[in-house]
Amino acid sequence: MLNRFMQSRLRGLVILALILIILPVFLGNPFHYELVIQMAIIAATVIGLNLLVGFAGQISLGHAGFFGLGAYFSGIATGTYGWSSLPALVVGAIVVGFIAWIVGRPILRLKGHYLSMATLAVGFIIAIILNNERAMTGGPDGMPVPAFEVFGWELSTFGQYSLLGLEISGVQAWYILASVVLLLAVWFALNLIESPIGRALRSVKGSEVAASVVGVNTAKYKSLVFVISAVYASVMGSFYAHFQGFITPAVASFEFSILFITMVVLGGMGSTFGVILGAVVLKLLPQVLADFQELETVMFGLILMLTMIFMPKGLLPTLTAIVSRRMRKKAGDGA
Amino acid sequence: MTALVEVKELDKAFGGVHAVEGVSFAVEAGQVFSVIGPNGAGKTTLFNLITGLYTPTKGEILLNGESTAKLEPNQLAERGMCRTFQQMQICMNMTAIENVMLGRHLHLKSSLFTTLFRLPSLRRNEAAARERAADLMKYVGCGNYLNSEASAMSYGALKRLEIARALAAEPKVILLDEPAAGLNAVETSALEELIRKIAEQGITVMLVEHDMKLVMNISDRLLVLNYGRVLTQGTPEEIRQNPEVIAAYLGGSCTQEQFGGRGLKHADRVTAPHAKKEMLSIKGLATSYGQIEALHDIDVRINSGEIVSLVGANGAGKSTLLMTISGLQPTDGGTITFEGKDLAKVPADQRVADGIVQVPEGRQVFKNLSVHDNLLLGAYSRGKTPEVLEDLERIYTRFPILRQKRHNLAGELSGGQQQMLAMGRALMAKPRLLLMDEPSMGLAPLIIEEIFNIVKELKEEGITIFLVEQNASQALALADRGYVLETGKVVVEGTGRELLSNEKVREAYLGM
Repeated sequence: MLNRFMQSRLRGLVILALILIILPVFLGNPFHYELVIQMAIIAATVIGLNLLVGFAGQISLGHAGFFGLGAYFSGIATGTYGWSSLPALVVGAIVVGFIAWIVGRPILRLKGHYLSMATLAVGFIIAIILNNERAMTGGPDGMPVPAFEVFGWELSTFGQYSLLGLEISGVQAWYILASVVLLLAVWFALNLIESPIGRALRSVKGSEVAASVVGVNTAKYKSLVFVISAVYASVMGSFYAHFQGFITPAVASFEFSILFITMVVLGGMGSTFGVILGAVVLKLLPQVLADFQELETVMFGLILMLTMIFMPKGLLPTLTAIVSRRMRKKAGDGA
Repeated sequence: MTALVEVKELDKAFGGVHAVEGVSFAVEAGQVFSVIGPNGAGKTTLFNLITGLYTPTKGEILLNGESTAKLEPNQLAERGMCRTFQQMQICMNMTAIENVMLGRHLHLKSSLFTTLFRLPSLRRNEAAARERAADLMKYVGCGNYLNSEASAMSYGALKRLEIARALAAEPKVILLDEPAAGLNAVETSALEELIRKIAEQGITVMLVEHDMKLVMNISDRLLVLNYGRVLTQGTPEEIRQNPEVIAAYLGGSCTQEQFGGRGLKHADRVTAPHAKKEMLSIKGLATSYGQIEALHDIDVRINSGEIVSLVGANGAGKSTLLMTISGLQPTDGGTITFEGKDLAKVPADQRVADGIVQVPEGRQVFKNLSVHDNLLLGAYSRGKTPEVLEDLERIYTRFPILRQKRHNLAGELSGGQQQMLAMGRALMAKPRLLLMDEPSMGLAPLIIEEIFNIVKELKEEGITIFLVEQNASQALALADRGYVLETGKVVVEGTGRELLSNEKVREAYLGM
């Protein structure tokens, strides 16, 4: 029974769900909750980016651009025009997906460094627009975003709610929402990877020529995965905007894009659960390193360097390889 | 009967150089159609044109009567054309069976919605595709890799996997680019059987191949290319008797033997040197790739002045052994001693300076550098001395084609020329022990003969040679001594002559 579970396709998802259920026991105050919610939102974003980078072997150094577009679309639609949150999120995702498709068609013909430069430029352009369109975005000063609201039911971090007779705070309610969203993001990604579409995506990374001669339209699939990862970013940007209640163009910044990519590489390219770990570690490190004060950034860089040197495949793939080797050794000794 | 594939006056020029010029031919459905010719004759270019990877400069290709000019490779696949590659194109980020399932792509349509929610219809299709892929893997003879990662498969198995992937697409015509390159005689005869089975299913087979025995056995028609032009075409019988073909491709000295039996020559062997001084000694060597043990308890001895051959099936660990000697692959145990010095702590670059130089498998020339610079880089470890320039002159004299092309980029050279460049580059390092990995791989008979002649000359100059070859009969005929490697262990050793007459070796590697 346990054995069959361990081999099942969704065991990672179940483990993640269990962790998310147990975790609140260790979360003492609203600050902890806030940190974990941010982690979940960002983790879901990088899961989408990993589809592009880790599985299809393309790169985007401007992904925060799509994250920022989603955030601002929700912010403006709900704040300025009084839309409801859910339609704003969905329409935002469609618009961002369309922009990604328009932009992706030409730039995905590029490879390697050239693609990096082009996506970098896309990110910059979006950040510049958000900075300059003061009338709509509030410019560098940012803009407030109303609380998340569905069917007239408002989810504010300051609210008090009751769930099945249980009194929960606003951040706890957000925690539940973020957990569900993360689990969905993982589930969709897993389903996508293990499908004909997913195989086509991975073959683009493995050998584009091989893919094309068995009938894979590689240009189409590159665009598709670029759009999917942009939609992931947009949706998560919308959630992020509502959760934070206030956004600035920093959400679309170059630094943010680099942070996303670093999470993918550190956690493990092509490993859906690995990149979640990457997001968690990179969100936690600054908290842990705060004690080092002015040396914080130096320590941060050093840790990244050492991880990449000694775990070039990323945290999770390396760790699972070590564990499975140990287990096999033990089984071997036992026999 | 109309032709399935028809090529009319096809031209392809790369910056003024005509790789394919005025080529016309027709392939009828159900045929096995082979393209032969010397290295650099334009065979692979022709395949790349037919499968849409290159756009022709002039001319036309018809598939089932339809012009392919505006079609992308994937659209050609939709119309029933699939292929394999000389430089294998396997997705190493996938499992073996997923690579074959990728071949089912055209027959597995599923919407994004179905995929994201993994609806039952998708699960059913996937299960069916997996089953079909497994059947195909068994059909081509890699059924023992059903649960493997592609990266864990041996070279020969990967070549078969590529064929399985192409078959998974249910093609009308399949193009195989040098499927036998790098295979030993036993694997080659299994391949012959496989191609026959494919043809019997009614799939048209187009083949680029250097192995004359294979080509002559299975082809219905042959096209001979030379310098990008059609030299002649006809049935195997007609080609066999064409004197022009023999002169251009098979070499003056070639006789019926080369067509039939892989040119086994025991003649003009150089006698072993009298001074049997031990140069390299390997004791109890072991190494592994992650979990997989690649070499186990290897004992090998090479005396100075000898040619020692290492033969064995694909994946036996031959290249790995060479890489441990040159220091590119770390060892897990055992010792390697070179002229009395333990190499354990000597890094790869220092070993070159000590006189151990490798000619790697697949040439590995610096494609973006000129021929001249490639050769100079070979002498990197020696610094810039007048002697280096003298040696450069000597290399140019030995390989006149390199002098002629010295300002060309190495990537523009044909396979045979690149092999010469790789050898020239290694010689520039002034080796005392030359490690050669599959120098004849993918080369035309005439060039192979030339390469082996050079190996012989190098020996006469006093260079010790450790030779890894799939072409076991020729390698052993040349060697003073030889070792047979099987799954990482030395199973037989002896003089070249002993191994050639060893019953087991003949059966396993020479296909006799």
